[in-house]
Amino acid sequence: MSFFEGTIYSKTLHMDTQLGVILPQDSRPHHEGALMPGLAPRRVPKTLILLHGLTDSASVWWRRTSIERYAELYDIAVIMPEVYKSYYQNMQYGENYFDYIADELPQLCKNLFNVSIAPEDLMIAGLSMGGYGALRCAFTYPERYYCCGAFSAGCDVKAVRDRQATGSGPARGFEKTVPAIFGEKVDIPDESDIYWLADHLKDKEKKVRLYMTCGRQDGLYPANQRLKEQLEHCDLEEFHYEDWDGVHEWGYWDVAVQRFLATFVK
Amino acid sequence: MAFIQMNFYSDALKFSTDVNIILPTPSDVDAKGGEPYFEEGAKYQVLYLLHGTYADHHDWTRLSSIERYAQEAKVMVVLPSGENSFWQDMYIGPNYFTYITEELPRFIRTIFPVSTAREDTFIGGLSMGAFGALNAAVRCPEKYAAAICLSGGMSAFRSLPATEEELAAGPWPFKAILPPPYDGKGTGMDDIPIIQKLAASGQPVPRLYFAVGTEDFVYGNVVKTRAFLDEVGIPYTYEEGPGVHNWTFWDEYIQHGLKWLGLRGTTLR
Repeated sequence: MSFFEGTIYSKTLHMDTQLGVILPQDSRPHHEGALMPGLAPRRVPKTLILLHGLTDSASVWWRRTSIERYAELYDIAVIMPEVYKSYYQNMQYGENYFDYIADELPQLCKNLFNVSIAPEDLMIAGLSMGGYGALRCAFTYPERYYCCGAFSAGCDVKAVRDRQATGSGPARGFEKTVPAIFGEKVDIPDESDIYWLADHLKDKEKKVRLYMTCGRQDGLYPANQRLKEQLEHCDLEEFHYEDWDGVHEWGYWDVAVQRFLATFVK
Repeated sequence: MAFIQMNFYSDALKFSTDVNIILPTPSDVDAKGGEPYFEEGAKYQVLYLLHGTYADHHDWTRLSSIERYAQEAKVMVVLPSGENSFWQDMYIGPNYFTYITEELPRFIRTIFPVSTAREDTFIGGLSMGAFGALNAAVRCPEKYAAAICLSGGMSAFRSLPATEEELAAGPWPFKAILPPPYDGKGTGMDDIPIIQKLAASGQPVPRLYFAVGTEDFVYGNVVKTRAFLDEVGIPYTYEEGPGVHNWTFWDEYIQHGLKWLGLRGTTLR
């Protein structure tokens, strides 16, 4: 496998932005992937866009998990973008991070790297705030993604707003970010509301394949349970939900991303 | 958690080299409200962690969750790059042994808040890096409190080439690492006399931890290493489990190794 960290220019964001990229390459000895012959042409890999959480940055997935090994096992490319604390929104006072992730990033990656972003090959997943981001992308544009993974998703963006606006909780300082994202009135538009989007999945022609999990001792467990119960009555192509004991930490997501890949990538 | 990618000129190597550094810091989640993030005068325990063959300073972070384990253990981890040198001062080539045992620690101590005490200084590695860690520990026993050796052992029982075919095969440039006739006799890789001398000296020997997968092709070499250490009376901790020579094993057993170190779990003052 090959691994890159670098900077790309985003037209949507009007600035340079960080990107981590894992691309399939003929394996070195003693790695789990099958050894490929020399420099033989290989198939164009499927692509997983992997999103970070609120207090993270683009580097968090490869730093806190063994994502490269799992990518190697399934012979896929992994794209890890940076969205700061935007909550994957088109910010009122800030940049259009949702458009960057949903519209620009896949095409940018296709232009820069030999990867497939065809609807049967493009996957999106994330943890916490990134789980929200993955759900929002997949529920807004089901026709663009093969599947979606939401790990301990901060799916209830209204609750996140209400809690963070008070400046309490783990993400102190977010009270300044909330109005920047949503405006002074802090209204959450319907198209940012995962529960609203879930209700409207029935209107979409293409149906979503979703893997969802949340640790049973995670503070976000009730919000995820609520979404899970709602999604059981929504029209999904595939809905895989499971949970086990765990809190809001990287050991859980290191397992979750492997379970997600095992569910959808063969 | 701070992750630092650093490049500096090494006088031992005579070129600029990359080092990755993991420095535990409170995350936003860890930090208690109002407490300062960074403590003046903190001194970290430090683990120098060596990569294996085919690799570089990025391997541990790319293929394991070392940063997470370092954060939990509150230990600083230094990840140098050593080509396929077996972490030796090469006969023709850079002085990697001097680099990792002398220059790099001096540099790290100059610019980072690390403890300089032997009891707070550790070395570890996997495969070729396990050999490097053991080699550094037995050649510089005054510098390290402990060594973690994953899937590797003494060079005498694994690495030293015996034939022209062995010299030509494999990724290691033994004709550059070792002087002719490339059998390693009398060099730093000749670890039988080094360890015999250390055992007889009465000097404190770093604590040693070995782990190897039962299906690993280096298993037999670790068996021989253990037998030799038993013979000369050097104690060690040994673990084995199902596994081969790969990162699934190393990701799990580096966690065992960190636990075995008995780290303080705090930054020292």
